[in-house]
Amino acid sequence: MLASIVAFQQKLILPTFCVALAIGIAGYFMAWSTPLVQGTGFGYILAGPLTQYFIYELRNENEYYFYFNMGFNKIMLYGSTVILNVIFGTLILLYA
Amino acid sequence: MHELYVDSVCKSFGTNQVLNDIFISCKPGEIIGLFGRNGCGKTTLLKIIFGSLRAENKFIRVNGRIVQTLRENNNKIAYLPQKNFLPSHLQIKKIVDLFCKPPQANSLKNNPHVKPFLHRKSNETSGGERRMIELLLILNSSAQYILIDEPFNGVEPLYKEEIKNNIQKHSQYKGIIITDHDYLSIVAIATKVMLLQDGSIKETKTGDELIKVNYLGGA
Repeated sequence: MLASIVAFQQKLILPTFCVALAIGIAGYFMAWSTPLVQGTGFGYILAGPLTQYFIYELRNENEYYFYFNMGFNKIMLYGSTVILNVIFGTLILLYA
Repeated sequence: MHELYVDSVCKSFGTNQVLNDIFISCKPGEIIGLFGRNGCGKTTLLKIIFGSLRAENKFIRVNGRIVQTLRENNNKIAYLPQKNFLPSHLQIKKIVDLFCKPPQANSLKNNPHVKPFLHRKSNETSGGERRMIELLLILNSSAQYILIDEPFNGVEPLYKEEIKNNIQKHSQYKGIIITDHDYLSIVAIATKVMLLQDGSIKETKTGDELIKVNYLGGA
């Protein structure tokens, strides 16, 4: 079960990092003047579900059936994304 | 009691009632061929049975246990969708290991239709090769009931024979509902033929009946 979640998340790791970093950079250079690492940490929490929506819902919707056939549903898959990215984001914020 | 029992399925899209009080049942050992014209609701019905699509009303019982959602089907029902569903970022070997239990995974990895592609990603295989791998994965899953949506789509004749053989082989201990427009291939393996028309479903005994109800053109 964990291996399937890891496989699902593998596709999201790099795009999520890019989106989170973009949010961090936007926070640093634009209105909020947030420190880059802190902005990226907060960005992670938002970027995970957004990236999943873009990568899976819009671009590879049929791939959901691979995970559905293994007993997962969308709530569980979104849940795994949220949990994983909250952990990443919190670790980055703690580091900051 | 080993049976997939589906009753009272109703589904509409806007004002269009696609499925109206559908009943279908399937036992291990049966291959049910489901026919119907484009847009009549075959895929919708399979998705509702699988649990990935909501219906206005449905009653689904798997081996005596009522199933309402995808999660509750507890891997008893597997669904092969029309389009490629293999994750494009994973190698076939990894996909097989994730999808099947070890004994089935090991035998599948030695299958001549799978073995040459084990170290390729799914998007590095052709449409026909991928379809064959998808079908073998679904048939070798732990599910007791298999819903197969257009398995012959884009597949060369030689592969069609292999697909039919594999479906028949696995139907000995699994219940299979299959839909495809390749009428002859389905009729050759089906133990029962059903026609979905105007939102309702009925069993047909002969090809002539399919002509009569306008699914096939008469000579």
